[in-house]
Amino acid sequence: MTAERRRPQAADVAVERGRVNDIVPLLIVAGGVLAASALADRDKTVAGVKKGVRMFVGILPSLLAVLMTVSITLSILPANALAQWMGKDSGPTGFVIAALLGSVSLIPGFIAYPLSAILVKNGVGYHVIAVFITTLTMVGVLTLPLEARYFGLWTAVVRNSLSLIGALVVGGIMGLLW
Amino acid sequence: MVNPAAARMRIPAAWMFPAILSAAVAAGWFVAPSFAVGVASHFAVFFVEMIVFCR
Repeated sequence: MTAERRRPQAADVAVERGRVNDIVPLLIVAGGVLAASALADRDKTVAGVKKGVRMFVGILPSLLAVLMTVSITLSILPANALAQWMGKDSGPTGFVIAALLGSVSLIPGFIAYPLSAILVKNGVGYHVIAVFITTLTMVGVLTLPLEARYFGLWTAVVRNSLSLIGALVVGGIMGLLW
Repeated sequence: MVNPAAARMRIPAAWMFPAILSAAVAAGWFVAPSFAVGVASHFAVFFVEMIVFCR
């Protein structure tokens, strides 16, 4: 494939530096609150930090897998492919791709939102992201058998179908507004 | 019988997919270095985006 590969440019690095400066007050506040917590109850604070680290390590494999997959995909795809397929002027193609991806993938929300931010940065339209996130959370093709076991096949199919229609409506409204 | 040392070194199931992708990209370095560098630079930026900025 003769794809033109994009890499972070100098301008991106400057933007990142600016955002590092933005995040410093937040880190100071977090450090201060942690110190206050440690003064109040050292054992509970240590237990809380340990729990946080365990949770972080727990989500790290999924996070890394998504990051790597996105990195590989963006390296393979031509520079304007995402914007062309799922950008503001992509029309129904973007809706269909987003609905398919959102319906079949099993990505937790806390990974889907930052992933969506990356996609928006790469030219994907907000209406497509809306369809992607809505189908991701409300439509589950892979989990349909499991859902059917609890609620019955008919209920599961109707719920998923209505959710898919709802996602497309949400995407349409987002497309009109943004 | 499984060697205990080997059992300890086994990759947990959750880490298997990231490990395979890492190995694939690392192997890609020998075939197409620019591709591997492109993936690594994207990954570095996204990792900072997600972890440091919690977005």
